[in-house]
Amino acid sequence: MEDEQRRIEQLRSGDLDALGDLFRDLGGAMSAVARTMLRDRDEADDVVEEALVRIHAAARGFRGTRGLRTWTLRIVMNLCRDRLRRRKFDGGRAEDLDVLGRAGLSVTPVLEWDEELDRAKLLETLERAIDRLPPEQREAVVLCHRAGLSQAEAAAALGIAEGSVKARLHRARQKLRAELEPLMEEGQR
Amino acid sequence: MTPEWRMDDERIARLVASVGAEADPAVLARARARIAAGAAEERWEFALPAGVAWLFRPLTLTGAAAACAIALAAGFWFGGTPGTVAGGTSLIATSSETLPGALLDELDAAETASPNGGLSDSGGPS
Repeated sequence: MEDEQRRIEQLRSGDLDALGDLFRDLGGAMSAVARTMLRDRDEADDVVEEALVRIHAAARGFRGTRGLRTWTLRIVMNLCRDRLRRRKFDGGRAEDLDVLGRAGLSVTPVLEWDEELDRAKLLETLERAIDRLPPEQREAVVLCHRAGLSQAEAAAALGIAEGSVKARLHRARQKLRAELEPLMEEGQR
Repeated sequence: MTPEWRMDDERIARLVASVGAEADPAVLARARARIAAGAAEERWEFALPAGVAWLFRPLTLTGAAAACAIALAAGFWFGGTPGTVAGGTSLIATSSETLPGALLDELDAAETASPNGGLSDSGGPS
């Protein structure tokens, strides 16, 4: 907590090394959020870059009540929303064939991963299912399960009540389960 | 459905969390370069006297260009071409552009009006 307060002070004073430290700690989460939301590595990296510039510019006015991680991911999420809105206006884009590769996302093997399952197929199904979620549910899933925010932090990042995050996560997981369970069933046969 | 392959919430969460991203250091480098460029621009603006800086504002430059365009358009509208007054009357009486030419033109005009220079041999009007 003290470290975070010190880093906030450094950011407020315009210290670029503090921005580097922030990127070292949160760059992975920032990238994961942007790449999952946008499914385009280059565009997502542009968003992360823009977020860093904005963090540097707005740090002086940051009070720190919500926490640095929440504030940072809120900026990233808002930039992603802008891009998605613009993309919708531009007519969208064709469905990607390589959903993980194009987005620049990587996989950390899950410990109890079932050997019988086709992991690649499972992950592809999962990512496509995440893409099909309504935007507000997708944001909740990405912030809580992929970026590792608590429900309270995600609520602060999204500017909604914690109960709403909980409800969105519940509905999202129901949909993900419905898409994944047939694959799990297949793997167990 | 047996519990072995039931996807509980925790399992779904772990599966979602198993996908992540590595931060690209080039992104930080680009952001730092943009911040540094922005700071340099601010310093340059700060170094200029306020009046001079004001003259370089895009709005001022656009306004000045628009004022020039309006002045030129008004000039052509009211005056036709340079060297004329309203109604198209030329301010230049002679057709020559240069001073010697104009003097010669004036001399020719005087000779045409009166071959004797406007005086009769008797000294009276011709």
